[in-house]
Amino acid sequence: MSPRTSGPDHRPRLRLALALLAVALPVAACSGGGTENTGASASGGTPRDGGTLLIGSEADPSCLDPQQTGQIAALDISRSVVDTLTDQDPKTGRIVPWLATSFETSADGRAFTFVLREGATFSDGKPVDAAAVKATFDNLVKLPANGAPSYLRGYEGTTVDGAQRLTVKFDAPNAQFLQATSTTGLGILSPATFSASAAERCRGSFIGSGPYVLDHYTANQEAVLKKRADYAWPSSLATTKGAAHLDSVTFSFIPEGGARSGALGSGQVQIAKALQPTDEVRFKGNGFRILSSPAPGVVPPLSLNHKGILADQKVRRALLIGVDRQELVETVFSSAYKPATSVLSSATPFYKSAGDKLRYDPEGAGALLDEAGWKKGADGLRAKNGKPLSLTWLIPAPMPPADEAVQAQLRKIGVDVKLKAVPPAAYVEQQGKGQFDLTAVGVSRADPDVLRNLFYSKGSNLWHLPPSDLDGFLEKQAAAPDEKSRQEAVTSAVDWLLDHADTVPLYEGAQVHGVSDKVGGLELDASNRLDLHDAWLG
Amino acid sequence: MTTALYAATRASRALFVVWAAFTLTFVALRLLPGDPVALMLSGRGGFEELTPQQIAEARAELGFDRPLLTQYGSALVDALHGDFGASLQTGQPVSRMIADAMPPTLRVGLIALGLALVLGTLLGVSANLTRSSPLRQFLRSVPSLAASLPSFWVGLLLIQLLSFQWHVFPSLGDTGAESLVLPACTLAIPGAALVAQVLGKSLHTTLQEPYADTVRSTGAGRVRLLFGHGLRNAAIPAVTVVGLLVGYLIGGAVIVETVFSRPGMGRITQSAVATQDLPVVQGVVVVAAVAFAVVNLLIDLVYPVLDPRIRSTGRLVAA
Repeated sequence: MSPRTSGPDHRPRLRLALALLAVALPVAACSGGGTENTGASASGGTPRDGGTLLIGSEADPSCLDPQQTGQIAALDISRSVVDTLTDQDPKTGRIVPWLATSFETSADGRAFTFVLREGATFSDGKPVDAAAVKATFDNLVKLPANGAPSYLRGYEGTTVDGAQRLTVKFDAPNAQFLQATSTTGLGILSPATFSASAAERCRGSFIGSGPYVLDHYTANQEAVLKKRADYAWPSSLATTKGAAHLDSVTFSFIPEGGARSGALGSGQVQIAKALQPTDEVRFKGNGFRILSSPAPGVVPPLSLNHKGILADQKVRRALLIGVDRQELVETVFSSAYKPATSVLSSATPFYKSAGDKLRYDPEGAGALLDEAGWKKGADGLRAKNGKPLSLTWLIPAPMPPADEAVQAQLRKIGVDVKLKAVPPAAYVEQQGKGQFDLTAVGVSRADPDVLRNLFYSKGSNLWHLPPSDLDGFLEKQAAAPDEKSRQEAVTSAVDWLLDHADTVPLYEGAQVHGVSDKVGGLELDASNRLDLHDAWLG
Repeated sequence: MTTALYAATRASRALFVVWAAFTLTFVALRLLPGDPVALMLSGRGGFEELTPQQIAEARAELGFDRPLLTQYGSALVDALHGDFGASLQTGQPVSRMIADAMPPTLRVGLIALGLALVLGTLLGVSANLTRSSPLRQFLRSVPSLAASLPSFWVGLLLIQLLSFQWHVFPSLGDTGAESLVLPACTLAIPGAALVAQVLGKSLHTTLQEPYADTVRSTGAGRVRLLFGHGLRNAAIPAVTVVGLLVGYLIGGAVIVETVFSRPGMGRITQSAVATQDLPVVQGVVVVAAVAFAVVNLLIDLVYPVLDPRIRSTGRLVAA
């Protein structure tokens, strides 16, 4: 999973952050909301073999190894190089077979047995067998437990029961694991991969069984994929059953948003990833279309530090109902973005609308602040006992335009929000130390367990949440033996978060790509990764 | 003897500049708020579940737990051997990263430098050559106008017109001669303005000195006066500008490489600064300092050739 800050560019809170531009990032798996194609497209035509697809990518990933990075810019490339045990249907959120033809969960929810298909091989010629899966997971848990390794928290080990059969065991019920096996981070790698150093793997020395192999990766310039002619084991969701249509795919790293859309418009690339909302309208029709999909997971919010002024639930509630989400989306974003209707985005499995709790009510917000003792002064801003109602919003530079819009909205109810944009390095430090009232951390993943990553008071607890029933709900959804009880626990957790105004959901983010009509068969997978196996050039 | 002494003084000054750049960067980077090791661990797509113990282990492994002076000492010794350690973000040796990033930056930089010198000289000379007063006024005002254009804007304008609209040159990558044109022009325009400003001004001054009247009295025309005498005498300030230009080009690489999606020193610098990748920043700063110092050393060594007065006194006399 990957953390995400607000803003149309989905910049990662941490690494990269080019001084001048936004970069891309997050998401790890989605479901529910299908992808949206607007305008005419070649996808109705007959697939053709051959050609090189040119893609303008928003950032140099700097590390391509799916086990070590959760960045979008990296996973869009590695998705085509590694296959996973399972796949997730973008329309239903269901987990379906891929390398594993069947899988089952033990009654106690702690053991997962997979039966692998026969005949799949890695690009080094070695078979995709149970031993390779064991090697993949055994090595993954040795990495720092963030990103993909965190999906294996509580890993007890993998037992190999024959060449094609294996069982993965955990020390506690693990409801999110099956979905995790569909994410690129848990892609199965050839055992030869693990003799390479972590740095070498970042540069591309990892071997998967995917429809493409990495031809080369030149830092700050390009990554080039070449098709594997003998590929014949796609996901059960794939239309193309054999090798990919394209001979090769070139990802050029174009950090500047205007240069990316210009390259698409002038035919220098056929796909421009992560379009800026202002550029979208150019590519609806005229030989182009927009490929977009809502990001699953925890929506970009105002994350509230429950220390200082925001320890008071009335103030937090005032922020919750004092934000006009509809206006925010209309003024700052495009039609690909939607107002938040829950803590989770509508593209997340187990999402249920809680829109009622997020209805804009400026009078109600004002009344709550009055009750809490924050009275309006002559300048329209509030104060209590001479202390101004001033909140510091910690932002990793550069600042997204949405932040200023939220600031203006909260000013209307008398709250003075100070925007504090700092370099990414300082951002991580200050956030860790709790030196903020507000930040914005969403996490993309198509599984409700993301709630536990952010709001569990026994975790890193950046927001200083007090221990509460919430912890119980989060534990329950992680251990739920069936879908019904998991749904109940997830709904309880979301209700608790909103009833206590523990976070202020803002908008549903999206992946928005501009695509030339010459490109057919291109879709986003459930994790919003580019699915290049079915893609072709007309 | 004095020439040798002059050269030795200048060379040791260049060495000092490089050492000072290394040391100041080392100190500044360590004083920055933010923990590069925590950033490194958390940067790859997650932030939860990082224990202080994990961070401490990584710090120890990278040697960040040693006393500052020890770190400085070993970093300096390693740097003298050309070893700047490994990038915290990519794990690659810094020297390797720089070696990979240097050629594309040098290609653009050298072409831009050449273009800037040629264009700047042409402009500076023609402003002093023309007899037409309005034209002279115009030619004199061009450099200050061009110098005030932001490179970022110039780059986007060139890319918009010549690449996106008219499809003349590619907008991205480092894929051959045609991909060099737009970035080199972007860098060269403000550089040429600088050269034109300095050269034009110093030519103007030179042509008003008494010896110019002497030359004129021999019946020499404008052109002969300018090319035969003026240019040589006006060259010292212009040569000094080359040193400034190199510094400007090193800085401009960040912008040009971003706008034109090119690999190179600018790009690695930018991401290294944003992620507090200390070894990379250190390496880049030293390389830039070496380039700057070497160019300025060469310029210092050219002065005495241009002006014999420097040879005899060992320093530049005020004109």
